[in-house]
Amino acid sequence: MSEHLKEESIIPYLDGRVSAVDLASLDAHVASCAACRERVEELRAVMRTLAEWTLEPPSPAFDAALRVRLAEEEQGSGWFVLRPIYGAALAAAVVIASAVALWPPATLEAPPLPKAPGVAVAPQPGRQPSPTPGPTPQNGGQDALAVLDSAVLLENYDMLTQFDILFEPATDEKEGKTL
Amino acid sequence: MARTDEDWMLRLRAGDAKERDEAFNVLVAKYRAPVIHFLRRMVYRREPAEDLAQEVFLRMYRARKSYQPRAKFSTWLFRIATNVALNALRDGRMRHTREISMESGDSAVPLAEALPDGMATAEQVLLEAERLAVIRRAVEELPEKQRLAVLLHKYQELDYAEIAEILECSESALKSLLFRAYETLRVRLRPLVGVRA
Repeated sequence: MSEHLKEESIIPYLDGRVSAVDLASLDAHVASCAACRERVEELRAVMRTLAEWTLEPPSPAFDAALRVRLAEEEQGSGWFVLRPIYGAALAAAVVIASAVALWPPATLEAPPLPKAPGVAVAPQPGRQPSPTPGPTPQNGGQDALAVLDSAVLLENYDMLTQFDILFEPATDEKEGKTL
Repeated sequence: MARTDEDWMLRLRAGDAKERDEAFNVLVAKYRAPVIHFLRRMVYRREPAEDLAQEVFLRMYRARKSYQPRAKFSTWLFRIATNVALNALRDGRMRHTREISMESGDSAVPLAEALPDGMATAEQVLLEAERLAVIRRAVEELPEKQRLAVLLHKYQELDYAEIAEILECSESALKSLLFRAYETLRVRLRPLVGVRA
């Protein structure tokens, strides 16, 4: 080989991913050509230097976060919804959230909350949190979804609304059809 | 006989709930670190990289029904990861992350742990941090395709055919692309090469 190494040959040569025939030819050239030898050695040193850029293992919370997002994906498909562990966790979350939201009891004087007159809350699954205030002695927790809206523990409300078991099917009052 | 990644992916596509669950867990366990590290080197910060990695595995799950084992599973998965990373970088979601990265040394491994004898002085720690920052910036400043090629070649150790397929070029073009990238790095990293902190 009289010319210098071709550029598409150098990286495979450094990786050792060339045929035995090519390797012998490239070795012979590198041994006899100072310029190519220097180039190859410098590139080897670059590869070693790049290897110093190491990273720590993934966060231990990664799998749990991925499971939550996958559960959101799976809403309605039955795969995760039917898994007992998710059902139990969900039930526990709802109980805790309701307890927090309904505390203190309605007999105590609650601090005044801003009113939004005329804003009705329809108990329909899947809706976005409304501007309706949380439970007060006035509404006494009658609107279960408003309670859920105001519960600080339910950070991922949209996911929970997909668990149909929690909600009665919404019906059209006039026609009695399930929506 | 051990199942291949492609077997697991087919199980994810056609299995019952339990089999799908098992297949998903196996594939995530195997590729969690490689995918996160690839994305980490693309976007430079841990949390955004892990968010994007979740997106990659969700896309894998969504695409299971149309999956055909025409290529190696790792090629298919890293193609998804590449698209996710490029989309995030192009739509500006990672701009702030990259700006922070350029300004600060986001060293991956605690530096004192990275040093061999655990007796690092403050000066050694700072020199090591600066060295890592120079390496990271040198890679970061490569043109996009060269950067991807280096990350997939050097850090993921994919073979040429896989990288060429991910980057949609020929193997010959990939080898030239890699050579040009490493040549640029050779110049940029010359002050570091052969010199340890």
